[in-house]
Amino acid sequence: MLCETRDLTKIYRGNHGVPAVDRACVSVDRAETIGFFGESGSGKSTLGMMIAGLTSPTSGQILFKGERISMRYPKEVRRSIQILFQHPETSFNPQLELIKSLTEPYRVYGLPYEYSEMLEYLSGFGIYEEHLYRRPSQLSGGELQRAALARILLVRPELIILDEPTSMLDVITQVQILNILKRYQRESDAAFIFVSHNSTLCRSFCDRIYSVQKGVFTPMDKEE
Amino acid sequence: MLELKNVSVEFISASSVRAVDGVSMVLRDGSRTAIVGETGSGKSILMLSIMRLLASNAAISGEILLDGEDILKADRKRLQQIRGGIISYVPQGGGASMNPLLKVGFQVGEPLMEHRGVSRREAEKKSIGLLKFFNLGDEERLAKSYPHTFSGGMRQRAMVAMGISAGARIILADEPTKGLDEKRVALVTDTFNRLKDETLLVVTHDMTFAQKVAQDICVMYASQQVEYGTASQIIGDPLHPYTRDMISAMPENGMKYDDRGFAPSHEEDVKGCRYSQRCHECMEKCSEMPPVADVNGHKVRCWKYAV
Ligand SMILES: Nc1ncnc2c1ncn2[C@@H]1O[C@H](COP(=O)(O)OP(=O)(O)OP(=O)(O)O)[C@@H](O)[C@H]1O
Ligand SMILES: Nc1ncnc2c1ncn2[C@@H]1O[C@H](COP(=O)(O)OP(=O)(O)O)[C@@H](O)[C@H]1O
Ligand code: SF4
Ligand SMILES: [Mg+2]
Ligand SMILES: [Mg+2]
Repeated sequence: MLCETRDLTKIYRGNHGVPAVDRACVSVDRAETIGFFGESGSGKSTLGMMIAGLTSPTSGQILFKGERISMRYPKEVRRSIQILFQHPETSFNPQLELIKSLTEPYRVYGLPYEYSEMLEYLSGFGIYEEHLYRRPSQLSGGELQRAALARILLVRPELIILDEPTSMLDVITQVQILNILKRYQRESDAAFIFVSHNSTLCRSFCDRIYSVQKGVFTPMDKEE
Repeated sequence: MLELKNVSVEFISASSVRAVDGVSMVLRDGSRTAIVGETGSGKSILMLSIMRLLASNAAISGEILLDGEDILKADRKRLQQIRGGIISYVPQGGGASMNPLLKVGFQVGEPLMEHRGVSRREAEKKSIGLLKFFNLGDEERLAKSYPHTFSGGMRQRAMVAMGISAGARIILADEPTKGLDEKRVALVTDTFNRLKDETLLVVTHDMTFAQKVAQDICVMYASQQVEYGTASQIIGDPLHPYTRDMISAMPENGMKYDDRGFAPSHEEDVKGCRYSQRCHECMEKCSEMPPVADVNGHKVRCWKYAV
């Protein structure tokens, strides 16, 4: 298993002890896509945030490549586990021009940087030079989400949490983004956790699905 | 009645971007229209133009007539009356635009205080009623909570409640169902369908939702309106190749799409039809800009239908 959780639980303060995620045991292997399928508020994003190391669990464990990890993750783990948020505007610093946010991984992880190569790479996501010198508020929702995905794939993660990644996209761009992800998975054997409340989408994109109800994660028969 | 006549928006900076290019629409009182289309095609910018909420580097041209009065010429005082009092607007990613420092109940009731002179206590009471109407669950407690304690879906539903709270007669909503699950989409659909006299304009990527709430649909691609007609026509018998591709890429229809790349950059000098690089039916003529053709009252910008 690339990543698994053991009885992972999250109780938010002020929620009267009601768990948002209740003893979740989920696992995902290399080259595999698992889905979290459930209603809004059922706890899908909370589990995703915990695995990504962005929210600390109340109890339970997260294992990555067999080792227990806990906040805050070492730099290599942070690079390996990336999350694409439900709301792309939260992926970017609102004050910064897009170019600053997109070149950040080059600086942080010391990747070889060349402006024209980056432009070439970004055009594969429909992001062009015209977008780079604008702040997030000056871009459309779909453009931001494609930029967020481009930034994530740049660091070649091993596990990507996709939190309703296409809910702000038109149906054609949705297919194109899912194609880009599938291609990346074939090249890299990355694992995906796909969070969605759309059953048709979940079934067509995921190998295995967990149904999520009131914080409880249960393996589900895909054909159900 | 709200009438858009040849509305264009250009952002002037180092490189100028024409985000909306010559859009015309007629929204009769009580009519319901959905705008669908490619991301970045100018849908949100078009809505922001109606509200006059565009960034200062934006130049708008054309006319936006509210019962004959050009909103583009209205002064600040008049705009304040219009915004929220006559036309209300629920922005895209509504959740993120809620004020994190104010309780949800207060925010939902705020337009009532501002435009209807309702007291704070009364407004907060009414807001609980609205939250209940949207079936958010445990509404009294939610009204007393801050937005960050809501899940994304819940915040958005609260924003829809806020948009309709002061009783404006024209409702603009930018992706009101974004991120909501089927059950909640059904609730929002139901709410919009309860508004009988109001004029509705929604931007959405959800074609099923569009069909359920709207009579008319406007399809946008690369800043232009490429098709405009009744919802049943657009979904049942789409004419424009882009609209056809969109319908077959819907999850319900098996997500079929033969990928020919993304829409061109605004800076790229595309001669002729803006869909030509991706269109399967591209002809020689398409290297010139197609005119808008009228097919039984249904407007379509494509050479296939030009006579
Ligand atoms: N302030 C700005 N300056 C320059 N260009 C801008 C500005 N704001 C928006 N744009 C551009 O205008 C175009 C239209 O944006 P808009 O937000 O209307 O798209 P949209 O159709 O609503 O897309 P989505 O479906 O992704 O929300 C985009 O290409 C966007 O990058
Ligand atoms: N920061 C937070 N503080 C308190 N409660 C929260 C917070 N984030 C989420 N919740 C609550 O946890 C539950 C699960 O939310 P979430 O994981 O966002 O659901 P989903 O992603 O499935 O829609 C919801 O009841 C939500 O209100
Ligand atoms: S004008 Fe030509 S290229 Fe454009 S959509 Fe019609 S057939 Fe396709
Ligand atoms: Mg979520
Ligand atoms: Mg938009």
